[in-house]
Amino acid sequence: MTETEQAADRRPPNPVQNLAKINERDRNRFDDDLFFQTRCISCGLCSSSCPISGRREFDPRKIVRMADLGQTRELVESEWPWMCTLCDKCGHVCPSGVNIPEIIRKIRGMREKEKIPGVLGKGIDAAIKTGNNLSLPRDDFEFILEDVADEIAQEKGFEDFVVPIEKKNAAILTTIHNKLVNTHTEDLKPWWKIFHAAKEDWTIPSVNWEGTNWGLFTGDDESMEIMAGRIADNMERLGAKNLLWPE
Amino acid sequence: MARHVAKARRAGSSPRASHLTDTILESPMPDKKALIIGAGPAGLSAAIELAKQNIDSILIERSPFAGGHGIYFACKAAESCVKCGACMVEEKIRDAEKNPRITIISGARIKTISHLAPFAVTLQTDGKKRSLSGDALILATGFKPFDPENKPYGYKRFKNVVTHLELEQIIRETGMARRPSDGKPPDRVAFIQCVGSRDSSLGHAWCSKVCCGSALRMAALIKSKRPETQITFFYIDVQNFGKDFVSFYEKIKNEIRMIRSIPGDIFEISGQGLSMSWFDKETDAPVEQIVDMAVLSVGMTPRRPEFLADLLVSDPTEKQSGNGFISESETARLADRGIFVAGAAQGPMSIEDSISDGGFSAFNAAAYIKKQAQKNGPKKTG
Amino acid sequence: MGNKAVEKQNNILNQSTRNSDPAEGKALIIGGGEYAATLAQAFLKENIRPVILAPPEHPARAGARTAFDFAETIFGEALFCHGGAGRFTISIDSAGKKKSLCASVVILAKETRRLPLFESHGIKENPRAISLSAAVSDSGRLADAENIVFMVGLKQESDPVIFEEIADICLDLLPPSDDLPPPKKKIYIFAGNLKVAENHLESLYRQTRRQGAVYFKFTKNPPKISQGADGRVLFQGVDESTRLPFVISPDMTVVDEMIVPSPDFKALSRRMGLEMDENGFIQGDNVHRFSVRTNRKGIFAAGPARKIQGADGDARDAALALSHSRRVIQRMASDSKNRENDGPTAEINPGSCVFCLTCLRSCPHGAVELAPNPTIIKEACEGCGACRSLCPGNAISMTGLDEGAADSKIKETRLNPPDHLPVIASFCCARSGAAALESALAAGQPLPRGLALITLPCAAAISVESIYSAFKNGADGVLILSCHDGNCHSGKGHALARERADYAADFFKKIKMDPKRIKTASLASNMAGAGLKILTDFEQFLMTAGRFSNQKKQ
Repeated sequence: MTETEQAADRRPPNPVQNLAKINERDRNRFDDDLFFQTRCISCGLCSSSCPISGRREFDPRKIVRMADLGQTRELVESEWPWMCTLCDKCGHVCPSGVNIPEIIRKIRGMREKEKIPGVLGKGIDAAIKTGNNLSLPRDDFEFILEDVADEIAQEKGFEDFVVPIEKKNAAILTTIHNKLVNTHTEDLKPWWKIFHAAKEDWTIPSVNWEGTNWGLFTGDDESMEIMAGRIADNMERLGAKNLLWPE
Repeated sequence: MARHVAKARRAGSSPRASHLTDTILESPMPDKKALIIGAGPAGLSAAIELAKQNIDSILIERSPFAGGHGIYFACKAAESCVKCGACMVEEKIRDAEKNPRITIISGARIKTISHLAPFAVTLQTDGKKRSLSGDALILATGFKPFDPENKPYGYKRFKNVVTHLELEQIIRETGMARRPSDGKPPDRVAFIQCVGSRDSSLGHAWCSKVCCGSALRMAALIKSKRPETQITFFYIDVQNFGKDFVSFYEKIKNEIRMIRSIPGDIFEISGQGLSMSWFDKETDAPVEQIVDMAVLSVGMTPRRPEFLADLLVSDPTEKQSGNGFISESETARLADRGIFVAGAAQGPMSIEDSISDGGFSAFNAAAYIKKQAQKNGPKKTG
Repeated sequence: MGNKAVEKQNNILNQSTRNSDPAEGKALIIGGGEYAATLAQAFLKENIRPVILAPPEHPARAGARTAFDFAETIFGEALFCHGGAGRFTISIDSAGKKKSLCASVVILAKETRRLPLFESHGIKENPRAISLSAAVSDSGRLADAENIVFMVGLKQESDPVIFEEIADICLDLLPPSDDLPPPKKKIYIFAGNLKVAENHLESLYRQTRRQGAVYFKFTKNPPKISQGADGRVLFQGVDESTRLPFVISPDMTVVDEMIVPSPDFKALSRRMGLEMDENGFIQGDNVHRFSVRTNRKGIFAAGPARKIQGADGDARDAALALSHSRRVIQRMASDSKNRENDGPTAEINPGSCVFCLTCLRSCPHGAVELAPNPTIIKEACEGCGACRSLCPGNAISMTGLDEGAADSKIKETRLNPPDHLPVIASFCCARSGAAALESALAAGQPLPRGLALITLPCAAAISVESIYSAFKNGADGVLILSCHDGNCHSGKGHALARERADYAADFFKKIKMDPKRIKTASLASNMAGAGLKILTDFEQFLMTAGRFSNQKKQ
């Protein structure tokens, strides 16, 4: 065996046996040039710039090439698309304008929900149903926020601290990352205190407050739109002027 | 009809030489002259060819000297000439300067230019205004090198990141490659090709043709002067250059490291040098290396001077080439009116081809002048 | 210039204004293809009579209609070409008979050939594996194939002309990209380095990608190739970008080709004393031959005879060949000397000539003829001086070059000794050394005060005697600055100068003089700094070495 063949042997996933099959372009699901992947000239700038290239054989150039060759199934089944941080450094340096993060998202979106890694799939279902990834009821949410607010109010200088929930016409409306009302409630305090000291006019909605949009993460455009839409609705409903979305 | 067959047929009907149509034999054209905008290799060559046909010409050059970008190029001969054509630029300058039919006006800015013959040009030079006129016009305005400031290579931030034109200049002035930071020859050099070329995100969907040759010839020169220098050549596709490409490439690709990948960021690590990284597809691993000097082979981009719009008198139905260089259809329209285009103004071109093209446009310009002279000559009686 | 541009220009300049006086002179165009026909037509329009020399097996011979109806055509092979620009006598072998033809200029215009690379890839040609030319000339052959592989540049570097042909075929076979359902045809291009260094090729390449062509680029490991009994080629390889192995057995394989110059050039080059480049084109690989010149004045190599290029380059060459030819013919017709420049020419003194024929054998420009005694052909001489420096009988002089100038200059410099500075006799080739030093001077750099700069048309003019003379007349050192090897207008100037300098240095060693007082160096005209450094370094050396006359006394 040649060195290349040996090297090829070490690679996951499936070797492609018949090139004639390689080029099946499924136009319904992976539009031919939607992300300009046919423009890729294999220059390697993306691979050279990617912060995780080489980790477990992640290589943006390879992913673009596989997309171009129609190896959609292999990409959907591999772990690579889930390793990407969507930083878009690759897209930024690409001389052909290939939209690599979008390719990654698209592939993620093609995986069946049950097979999505970790809790992401379940989280999306919960968010669509209840407005947040934890299925945390409204009352519990408000209780947690007020509990933290009470603790702040016991500190010197913050005796008048109150957390403004569902305040109308505020200058700022903020979303909440679900972990802040789950395992990391202490992390609410520092920025709340800053708002207070700055006498900021702000509010937290008590419904659809989830800022962590796993529809974005998983390439599920429909869910992503729904969740983003709910935040927009909140803005309208509460008449807030600016949206703070720390995500 | 199938496109490639049509092409073959067209070639068969030989429009190749149908530029070369009826003209009369050389007779001196005492009152005729051409105005040539740009005194680079194409412009100079056009002037020399016109002079051989007994037609005077005036070269109007923007910068203080003739030669265009050609004067930045170094002789890259190691043991023998590498046929880059750089010395030909000097020869053309010398020949033009001592030719009584050729006048070079340098440091000139064109103020106005008429778009029909006779071509009236007003220009500003030495703080003075001058008016010139010509019976034909040759545009030899050349190109603009791509400025890689916005590429992640630290150009203009790190002293030892230079363009290939700047390295040519360093070699020309000092005889060898040297680091701008301290003037010492580098121990490790990286050449990065296609910077600003083959780049559709910039709208530069072209190959600049000459940079593979320039970089590899410089690499060969560096190797011959300091064999211990480690050279890495990052490329996408190596292009041909010169009649001896086959033997030259065969030799150089075994003397330097050729990597078919373009590196990402360049950072400066104080005390060590420039850090660059790329992805090695054979080992599926990123590689980081330190070099003393990075040479960016920057592409040729169009230089569309303001007066070009005046000359073109644009036709909305006309098909633009889209890439900014003077397109084939624009060239054809201009030729109708006695304006000819030579050299890199039409697209990336080597010194050799610019010289040829200059001669060619002069040939056509001379034919045009003679035709006009015939048309406007004394009418036959009877 | 594109074809549209050309047609347009053609239309404007179309009104004929033929000169009533037909031009003297004929142009011999050697070649039996399209390009020769193109040139002939162009020359005709300029009232220069073309004569086409087509190969003996040319189809026109059999009476088939060709493009040559309009010009006199001889079928045969050129043997020798004597004489100089404006008056060549070409001997031709035509069907076994010897013919002689006079012409003012000779244009080499033989077409290139295509060499399909079946053998080098180990593929047998058959209906399923065809050459690129076969695919170009008959598009129907690929019409029914569902998958096609094009090979280009895998074993040998290819070129833009080949790539453009492949890209054009792809665009014909693949419908525009917004067609649904997706095309059944799958086209793969297996490439080494993609050659896109011509206008519009990068766009063309991207267009083929958009329309569905898939490129596999190979750098170190091209696919393994084998062939089935049905003639199908089987490719097994690894895709470099994904490192995934693949196998394909396409319906049709289009094998790439090399474009090679006419095989007739080897013999022609030898017989006519013309340089060739490493690829076999009949033009030296020398910048002084840009664009259509050869080492013999009045003989031009154009289009496919000199390099692989597209139609634009061919058109340029045709115009330039025509322009040069016209000038040669006009000079012939006028009374002025038939010279491109008013440089020195050589002249043989018959009284001193001993018929050794060294000049004839060594002239790089074919400028010596036996008429009946050795005579310099003025129309061919380029004044390099190689003959003069080689003539054992000192029978050759250069008109326009003052023989004693070098000696006087050195003596003069010696008589005004610049203090303790050495006298350096620097023999410089006008095109390189002298030009570089002049540039340095013009830029305000001072030259050594003991410098006696002697400008020569070519370093080939330096003889061993002139080196000894220099020392006799007072030089402390001799520096020869010539063009680089491969850059000499006359081919071997540097090598010859080096040979003589080495000989003189050797002699110096024998008589116990310092051989380092004789130095040769090569440089280009645009390297003023380097030239100055060589000069000043040599001056330093001579200062420590001391006066040559002092050394002699020892």
